[in-house]
Amino acid sequence: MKPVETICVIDDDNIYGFWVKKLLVSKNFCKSLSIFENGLAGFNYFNELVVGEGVIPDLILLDINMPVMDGWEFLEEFSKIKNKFEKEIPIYVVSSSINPADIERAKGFEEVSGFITKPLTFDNLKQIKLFQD
Amino acid sequence: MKTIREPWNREGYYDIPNFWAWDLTSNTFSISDNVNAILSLPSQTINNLDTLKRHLFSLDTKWLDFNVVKELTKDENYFEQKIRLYNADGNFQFFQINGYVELRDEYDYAILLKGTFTHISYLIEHPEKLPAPPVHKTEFELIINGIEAGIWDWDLQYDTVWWSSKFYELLGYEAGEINTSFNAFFNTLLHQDDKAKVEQLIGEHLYQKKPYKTEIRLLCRSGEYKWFQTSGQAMWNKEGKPIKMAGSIIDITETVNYKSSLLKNEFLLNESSKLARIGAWEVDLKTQKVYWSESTKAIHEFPSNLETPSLAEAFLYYPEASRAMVAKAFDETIALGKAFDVSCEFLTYLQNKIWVRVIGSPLFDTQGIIIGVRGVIKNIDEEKQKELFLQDSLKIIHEQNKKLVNFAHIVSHNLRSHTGNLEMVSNFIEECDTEYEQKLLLDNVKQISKQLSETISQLNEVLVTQSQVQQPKVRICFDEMLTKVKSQIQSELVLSSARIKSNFTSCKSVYYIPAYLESILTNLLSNAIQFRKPEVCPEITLSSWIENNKIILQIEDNGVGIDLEKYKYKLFGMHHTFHKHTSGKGFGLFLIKNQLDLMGSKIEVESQENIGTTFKITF
Repeated sequence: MKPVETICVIDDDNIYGFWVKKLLVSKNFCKSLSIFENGLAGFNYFNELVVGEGVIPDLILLDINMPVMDGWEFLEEFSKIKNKFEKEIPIYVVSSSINPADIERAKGFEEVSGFITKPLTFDNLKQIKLFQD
Repeated sequence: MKTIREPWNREGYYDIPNFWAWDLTSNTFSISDNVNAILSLPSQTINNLDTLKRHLFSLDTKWLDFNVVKELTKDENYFEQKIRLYNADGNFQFFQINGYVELRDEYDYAILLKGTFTHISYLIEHPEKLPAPPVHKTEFELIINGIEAGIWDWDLQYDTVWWSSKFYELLGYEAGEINTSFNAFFNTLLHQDDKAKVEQLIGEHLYQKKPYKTEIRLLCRSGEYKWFQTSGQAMWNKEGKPIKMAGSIIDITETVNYKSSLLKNEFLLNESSKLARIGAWEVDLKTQKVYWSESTKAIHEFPSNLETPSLAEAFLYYPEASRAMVAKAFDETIALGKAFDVSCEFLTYLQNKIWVRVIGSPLFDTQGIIIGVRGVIKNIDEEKQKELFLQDSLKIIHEQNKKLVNFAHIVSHNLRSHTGNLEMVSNFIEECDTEYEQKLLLDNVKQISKQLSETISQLNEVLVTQSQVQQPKVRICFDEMLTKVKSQIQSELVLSSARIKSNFTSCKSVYYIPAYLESILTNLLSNAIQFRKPEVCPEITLSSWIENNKIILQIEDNGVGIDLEKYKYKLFGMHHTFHKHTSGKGFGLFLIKNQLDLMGSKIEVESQENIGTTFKITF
């Protein structure tokens, strides 16, 4: 498995943030990682990428329940600008929810490639297509 | 007089066959015992006036009436009369009574009568020994045979009866097949239950000249009774004595059966409408008259002895809220011929509020013009109350279910987010090489356990809230409660330099569970302070008043506001926060919504970003 260049994590939980970074980098899933503390911060980054220069992430790990802009709202906003990127960015919803309604709702978005239930571990990161070879 | 009455009491006097004597002064009557023998009755059955009358055909009793006999013998010393006595088998036996006046008083009235009686049934039953039956003219004969009625002709003097052939036919006999005497008619053919009526009506016709027309049952050859309508007319002689009576019978069995089945149906309909609480009504548009069935009156609780009200009055039974709807439906039926079916509230004559369902449809004449409206009204109060109760229960169940789902969500998301973190962190225990990382890991574990216990205590608070609903409600002064809450959050108030204004003059207190009101005020005030605008002193205004008979409490702030378009549905959910850089836990509004719901109170919110938020509670 070759590490990807950049992974984008959108999650308001800073404990999760710190350790997910350690997991992804130390286990060689990626070379660099950017973390945004809510949907709006994440969206603003992508929105600026459309006009300006910057690294387009290879993968987005998205939480659902966040203040200011939650995961669902991010998905709605993101779908409006995704065509402006030269490559398709897979999005995985990473949530502590085991509510089937949330899983169904996530599947309803064509941008969403999968739903991972927290905690994020080495094993369940293997669900992600990029890391399967 | 006494000397003459003496032989009266002589013994053996009554052994003379066929003798009778009547002392009108003492109204003492004696008769030979032979009368009992003729009638096959035990000896001494008839032995005075009372026992005689008991065996006398009622039409003949007048001939034994004291006053009649007195008048009859005023100018005549002798008289004769035919009477009918019942024998042991219940058949008439004819007797000829001959009498004479033996003694008169000073006013010439008879005071002692004596005479004989002769059994003449043989003669009566053998009419060939009597004058021939009436001869009708040919045209009459044709008519008599042609019409669908049986004709009868009764000679009262000889007590002979003639029937037209149709009469026989109606009863299923060949002409002349049976004995047509009055005895046979009255004692064999006439239904037991009709005897008294016929007796009375014939008597009234013969002696009071009232019209004779009635419905009777006659025994047919087949052994069953058929219904006939019979009428007749008597002929009187110069002295006013009836000598003849003639009339007809018409078969009305079908009509009677039809009528009785109609009555039966009407009875069934009435009974079932009573049971089903359905009533019928009709409005005649031409006369504006209203018809109500008994059940309709019962639904209205309208006294059945009063006259049905007018159309305008009938509408008054619908309270204002439903009157317009019913009137509109009614008018549309008249104008467009549209049937209607409405359910609404209704106020009975006794001012009881019930639910009714009213169904109406137009009534057309032969030209297709609407001439009335006809329909039913049903008392659906019980059903409606059940339905409303069910709706309420459903709403409660729905609310409870929503709460349960919310709880499932809390467990699914909030507890799991902490345990998930804990699990993730613990996966790194072996891999933390640096002291820095090890310290961080430990700090994080502490932090997670703190968050976990906080969430658990919040869940506990929700459960406590649920159980507090059992606490007694008391009268709480808004002022006192505000003072209490202010002292509890004093540090927050001082740190933020918040200003709190209140106006509870319009409504000073509320009847509520103190723990809930305290929690509601605490949470709303801390929210107002927490979500204040930076650089602006929070200003919070509380006021109370009464609106539509309900107590209102309003809490207004000048904080950052909430984008309601986005967050309207999340506002009162658990662990939804809407602001960056705050310590909002998304729990306070969830908790107070829970408390208000439990009490059946309502909370509304108005907000504008950067201007402020207003919470309005309707207790």
